[in-house]
Amino acid sequence: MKLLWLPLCLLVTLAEAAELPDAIRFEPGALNSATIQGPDGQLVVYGSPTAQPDAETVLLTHVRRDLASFARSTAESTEGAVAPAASEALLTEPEQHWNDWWDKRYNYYGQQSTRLPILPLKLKQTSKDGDTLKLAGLEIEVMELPGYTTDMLGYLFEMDGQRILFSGDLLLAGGKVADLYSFQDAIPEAKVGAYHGYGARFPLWIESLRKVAALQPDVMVPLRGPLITNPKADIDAAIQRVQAIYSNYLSTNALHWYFGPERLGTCGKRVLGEDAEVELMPFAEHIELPSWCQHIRTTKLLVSADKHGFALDVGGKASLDSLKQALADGLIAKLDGIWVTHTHNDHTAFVQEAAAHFKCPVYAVEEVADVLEKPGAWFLPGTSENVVPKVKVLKDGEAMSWKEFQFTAHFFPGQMYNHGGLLVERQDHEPVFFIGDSFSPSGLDDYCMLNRNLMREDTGYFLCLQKVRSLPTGSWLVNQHIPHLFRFTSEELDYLESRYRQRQELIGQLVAWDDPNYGIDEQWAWIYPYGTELKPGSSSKLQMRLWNHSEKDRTYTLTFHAPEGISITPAAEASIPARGFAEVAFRVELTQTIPNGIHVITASVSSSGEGLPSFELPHWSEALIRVVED
Amino acid sequence: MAHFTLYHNVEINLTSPETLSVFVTIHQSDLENTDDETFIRETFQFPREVSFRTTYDRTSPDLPEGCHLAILEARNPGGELSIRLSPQSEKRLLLVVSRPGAFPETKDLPPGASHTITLPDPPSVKRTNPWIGALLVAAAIGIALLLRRWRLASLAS
Repeated sequence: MKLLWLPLCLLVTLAEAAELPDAIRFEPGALNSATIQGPDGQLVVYGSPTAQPDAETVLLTHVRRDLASFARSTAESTEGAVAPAASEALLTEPEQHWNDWWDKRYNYYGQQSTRLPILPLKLKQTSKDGDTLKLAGLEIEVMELPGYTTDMLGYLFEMDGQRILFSGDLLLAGGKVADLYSFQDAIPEAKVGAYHGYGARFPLWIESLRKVAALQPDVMVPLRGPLITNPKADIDAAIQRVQAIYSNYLSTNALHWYFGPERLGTCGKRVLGEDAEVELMPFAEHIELPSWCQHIRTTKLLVSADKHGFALDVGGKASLDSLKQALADGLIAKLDGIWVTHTHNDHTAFVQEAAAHFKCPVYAVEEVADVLEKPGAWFLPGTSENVVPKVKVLKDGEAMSWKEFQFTAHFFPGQMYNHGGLLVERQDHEPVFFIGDSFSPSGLDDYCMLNRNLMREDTGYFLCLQKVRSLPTGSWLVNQHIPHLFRFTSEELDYLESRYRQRQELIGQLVAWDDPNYGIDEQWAWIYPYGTELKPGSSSKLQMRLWNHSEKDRTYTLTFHAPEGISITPAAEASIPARGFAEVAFRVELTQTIPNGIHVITASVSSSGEGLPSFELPHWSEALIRVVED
Repeated sequence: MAHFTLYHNVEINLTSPETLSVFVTIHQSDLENTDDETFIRETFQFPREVSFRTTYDRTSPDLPEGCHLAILEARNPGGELSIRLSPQSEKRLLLVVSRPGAFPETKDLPPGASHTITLPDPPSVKRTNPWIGALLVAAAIGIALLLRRWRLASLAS
């Protein structure tokens, strides 16, 4: 059985405690707790399930919601917590973040974690790199260890001749890490934004790990999971794994087409080293678009022989203006419909305005349609707030005739999960599969983990590759951004698939879960709708949406947390078959006196299954409730 | 929009026959180590004989997030116009050519590639034929002389 970072490691407690000096009491749990007895008092690191009034303070390595919540009782019973200066505002004024977040969550391409504190935390002081803290008669060296988060600090103690480093979520035992999506960020030196910055903070992380290795700690005490009793070996393993993952990622990367080998090389050398060879897939065969397909920014316009138009995506005003101009110029007599490939705003923002102007229906697969109809219910990269009130859902495989064209709709979870593809066939041309943004001639558009690129045989790019292989012979692919048709040879498809399969395995070695998908899918457990507007005294039914990524059945237990003025079903449970999905309903009720504004509810998730490791995730998922006047 | 950073985006607008308008969308990430003017000069090469005047739109609500627009305008010289994307460009170019009564034509150019378009004929300018000019001058002088003679004759009578 794999050893996870999250289980209550009761069996290993005694063995681990033996690695630490007597003055440190280590209590493993969903989040680990340590109490340190110094010459002049006690210190708590991370937090404690119960208040520790005898402690002088509690040390936080970084600021995430679960940790802030865990530290709260001790912080409140003492002079307050010591926490990273970089995240002070998130601890002292979290309500400001959440008030702004109601609007900022739309059209969002920052791709940073939303697992942030809900309530303020009492602070004694902040700390930063280079500080030496003198607490409880102990000297504690503070060092910054960014990578997994931007604000991570390490607290180094010397006791009984041992060097003990409290390292938060920097590293987990066995050379593992909690997830990969937390590393998503911008790469300024390659002019790559956060949305395209897969593993952007890997270099910072590697640097932090090497810094720790140079300090030669005897034991590292992570926030989660067992103690790290052989730091050097675990650090070496972690660096080797992440470099292998990144090298693999670049080798099948769609961005090679857009940004060229130099920029991809810059990205690669940051992680792999200056002398590293960066492998990139050569471009697939590509040709000009046929005359019946017009490329208008991110819109593709199909034009029939009798000059009717059918648009795929309308993401910008310029696209809409071009369509209007085409009508005015008589280039099209009418726009008969709009197919939406996926839910990013550069494909959707003007769909409704176009549909209203041309009085035409909007089509999409179910996974796209719901986001268009209820954008506030979802939190995904680049979701436009513009509602498309009525979408005609085409099922996966459903065919539709339009003029001399035959359409077949596909669920096509490539670039993002909420994504479709439209196979377009006509007598005088090889079939063309409109795959949205899911491939370029250089590979896969999997640069943003928050898009949910699931690495499962039944979905994600494995399903897309299977669908591409199943197309009629000679079929072409077309990406909404690229004015070319392109197609992969069977050897190129083999290459893409085998490399992707290797990456699945490499990620499985790096993340501390029984299935790699938990480590790349931030939304395997999330609350739907993400944002809800309610009036005082009203109630609403919400759902917890759960994906069992494990290869065996699991039982999930949910515990809900709500602020004053909101009552919520206390707990719920769901048994989900292997690779299954479930929606668990719960109800929120508002008091008559609840103040207007943004309120945040959270859900803790724990899970167990026969032959599977258990896990417990405090305050894992959040949802926003905006209270508005009658 | 993050996706707007994938390509350089240039539109050559030929909807007005008098004016050659080139719209260059500049994303803030394009300007990390340079300014607008240098970026345009070093990234896109136009024929030297075309003299553009440049203005900027930084405030229009229709601009994509993080972008502003450089508007290069010149008198339509007619004939052909070529545009070349610098071999050192850090991304490809989506070149859109807009003409009246036609769908926008989009070209995808890798670094180092160029594309030539045919410009519409400029509006017919009433060019002065040197012979006509000379005749006009001669006629004017003739009329003046006649008027003078007529005036002198009037005075004498």
